[in-house]
Amino acid sequence: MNEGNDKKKAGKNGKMKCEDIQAVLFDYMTRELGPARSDLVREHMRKCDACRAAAAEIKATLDLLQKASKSTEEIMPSRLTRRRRKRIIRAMMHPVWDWISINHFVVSIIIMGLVILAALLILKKLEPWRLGDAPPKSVTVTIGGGAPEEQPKPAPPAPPAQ
Amino acid sequence: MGKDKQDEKATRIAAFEAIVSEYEAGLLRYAARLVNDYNVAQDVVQDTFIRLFRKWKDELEPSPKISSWLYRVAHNCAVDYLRKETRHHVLHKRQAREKRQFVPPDRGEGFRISAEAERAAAALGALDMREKQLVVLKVYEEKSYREISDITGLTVSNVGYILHHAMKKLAAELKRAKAI
Repeated sequence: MNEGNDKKKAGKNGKMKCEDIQAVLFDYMTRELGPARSDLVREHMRKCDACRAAAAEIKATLDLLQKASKSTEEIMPSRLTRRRRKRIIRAMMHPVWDWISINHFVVSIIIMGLVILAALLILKKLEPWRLGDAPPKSVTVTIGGGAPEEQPKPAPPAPPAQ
Repeated sequence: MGKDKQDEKATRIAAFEAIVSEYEAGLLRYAARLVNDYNVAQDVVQDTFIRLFRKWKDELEPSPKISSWLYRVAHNCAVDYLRKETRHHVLHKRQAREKRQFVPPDRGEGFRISAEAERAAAALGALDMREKQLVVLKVYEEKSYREISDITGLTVSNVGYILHHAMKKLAAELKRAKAI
């Protein structure tokens, strides 16, 4: 912590109040306090029961956390899995391919859209529903209105000339 | 031309191996303690390294600057995961429930330390993300206030202030659970 604040906090007679001491107990225990302030804390605690009790509480908490840290270190993963290492290398070496494989859902939708668009364009160009260029023959359709008109019979074939 | 490209590729892979070997264990521990899940921690660290290789423009070799950057990005990735999977809320609820119902299991002397780990994890659940981050960095990863300041962007005195309150909160939680 900032050594420059030490004298300011220590007051005119070089003494610190209990609340100031308790505010820096954790810094003191983790050696983050400068030597001058550490001396003041040590000196104060020698005479103050309340600050000693507060220090004991923080020390017990710190001890428990450190023991917990050591006990869990053995079961904590210490290396990335092979699959994740491969993934990092792929991201380094083939960023585009990596992006595609992450966003495969979006990519497949885009590809599907492009395929449909291409199919529509081809259909529009070829127009397979138009069978040919010849104009359609006219057909007379009569709806209702009695019996159908009698069609003129085709003339019988002329007898062969003698 | 082809040989140059291959050399460049080999150099990058070697740099990658050096960086990953140096920092993976610490980052995995750190992420696992933030998200309380080893699998998610693996994902967090994987994404952290990918971001490093995409965004880091300087020389890729172990340094305090890279270390701070990695811890900062790992924290951001962990927060992203927690937000995305709405685990944050669920986790806190679950931990609060566990805390209230916590009865130290009788597992014999050999499991004494594990029980402490469980108590510590339950107590850490009472902290907010920022406090938890600082406690993990200071107590578990044994970083100095200066290093924590570099990682988090907080001032050194702010780090001390937040840690003081976090430790008070932890002590109260552990006292309530009769763990200290």
